[in-house]
Amino acid sequence: MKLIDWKNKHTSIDLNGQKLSYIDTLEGEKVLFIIHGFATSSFDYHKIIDQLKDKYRIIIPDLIGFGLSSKPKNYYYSIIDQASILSSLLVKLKIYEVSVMSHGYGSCILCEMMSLNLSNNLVLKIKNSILLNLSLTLELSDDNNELESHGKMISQGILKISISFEMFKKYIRESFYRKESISDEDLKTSWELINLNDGLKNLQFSDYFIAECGKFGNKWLKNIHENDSKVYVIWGKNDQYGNIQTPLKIQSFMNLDDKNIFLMDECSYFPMLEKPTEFAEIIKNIDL
Amino acid sequence: MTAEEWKSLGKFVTIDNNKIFVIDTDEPSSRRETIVILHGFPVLSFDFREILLLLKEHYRVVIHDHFGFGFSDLPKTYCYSLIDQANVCIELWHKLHLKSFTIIASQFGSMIAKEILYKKNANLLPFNIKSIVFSNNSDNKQLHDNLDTIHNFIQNKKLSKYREVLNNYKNKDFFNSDEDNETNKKYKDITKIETIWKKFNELDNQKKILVLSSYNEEIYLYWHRWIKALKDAIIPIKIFWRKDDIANIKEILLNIATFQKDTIQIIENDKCFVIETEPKSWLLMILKEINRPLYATLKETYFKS
Repeated sequence: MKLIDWKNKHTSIDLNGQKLSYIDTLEGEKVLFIIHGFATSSFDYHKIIDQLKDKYRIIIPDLIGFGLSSKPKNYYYSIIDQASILSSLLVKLKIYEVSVMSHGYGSCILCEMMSLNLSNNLVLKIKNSILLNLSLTLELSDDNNELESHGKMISQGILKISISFEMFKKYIRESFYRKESISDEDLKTSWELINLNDGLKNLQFSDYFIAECGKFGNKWLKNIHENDSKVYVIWGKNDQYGNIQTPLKIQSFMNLDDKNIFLMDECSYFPMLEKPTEFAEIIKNIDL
Repeated sequence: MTAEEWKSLGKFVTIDNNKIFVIDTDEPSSRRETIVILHGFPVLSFDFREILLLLKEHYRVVIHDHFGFGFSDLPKTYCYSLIDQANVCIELWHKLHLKSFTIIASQFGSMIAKEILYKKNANLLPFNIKSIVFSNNSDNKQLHDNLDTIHNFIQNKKLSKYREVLNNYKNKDFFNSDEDNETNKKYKDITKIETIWKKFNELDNQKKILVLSSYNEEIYLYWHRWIKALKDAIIPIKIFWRKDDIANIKEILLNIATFQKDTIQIIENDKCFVIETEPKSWLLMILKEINRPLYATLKETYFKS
């Protein structure tokens, strides 16, 4: 899909002094709210929207600093900021009950949104949470050394993709199980989305995000543990970035049934791009 | 006034399963003008005793000890963050049915106030804040004495080990569902952890150190966020500074370099009033900016003689 076609599907709203751009399919009782990961955008989900929109109302924001949303200059838009702006968006749209799906960095934001709820500021009910690859990996690290090495891996990965388009293509393809499952056109669009409004500079803040995880990891675990929301895990088995142990850790930490864990074969960090049909089927079958 | 007498003026409110000490001079239904005080470090709510007696004649006054300070608990499952302290304040004020008030904050408390201001700008608060006064109120000698304690503590090579043990202690409550689990192994030596925790609670300054240990890191992480809070504020804000308060001068300069707004007033505390030695003068200095008539009356009463 070309950038221009993708732009046409987006709506935008001014919130807290920022322009927040998002996909909203408008129709449907049940809302599925999707939070993308670091250095990516709502574009990750373009292959599954059509399949899911019959059953749910799909809302996918581009986080501040990414995709088509505004990109503040020399400003670290923290996880706590992201959580407040997303909560404000839901309040503006008059949505009080949602299911949330989150990928990596997005899961930190999800946990922080739960914390905003706990402190009595909002009446937003998060009914279901679907965690994708890399979720809670940093938070559930066994000790500081493990957290540090996960953190390093993430910053290195982000550094590699931000060098040039050629490097971006090479390393994004490497995080796919089958390199051919992403087309050149889609890669070009993703690259353009990162580069819009000088957005490449924002990637330098990956270290801040890892520091924030180290600081608030325990609190976030507590939030998601105490929240009433039902938790599901969908994880590409061949992920080279996220530790494959993590889904099992999440399962034992949250006391989840086996039927809540979906491990996808021959699939890596981007299950929604690698096996979109199968991925969408799993979500359709979960009773959100 | 002794500490016990001070304690009898207030009550304990439970937040997040921990007790927080708060003094609220009025009934929840009161509609008097309200002032909320956020104490800093090394000052506790107790240091505001004279100010409270004076102010409560004219205002409803609410003051609490932050978690880890004074009479309040040091929560076990807690990440000791300023952001959480801010959430605790919001929950506390909500429970006290406050509707509209002015905040006076200093040092540690002023960071919490900035976080609250940010939430206010984002329309995430269930009450109205009329204005915020930032004023560092403690004299430097005491601060430096305390900093020495902290410095010695940080030099202690065992610190990182203690912190890790305590970290594990905080987590154990939600990890121990499955005893044989891999992640549970590090929580096995419960007695050792209990002992360290007990020691932390016995020594007063150590308790504070756990809370303060994340302070610097967070000021760095959220600098953008809190400067933005001041920049975007639509309520009046008064910032007091003193020439003998070096750390604060740096912050004031950064503020001035970042924005020039009508709503933000930067005022010099030119006689360097601090709360330990001249609480009344310190209070008058603030009242002069927020309530002129009351300032005039009080000045008559206290300084004529």
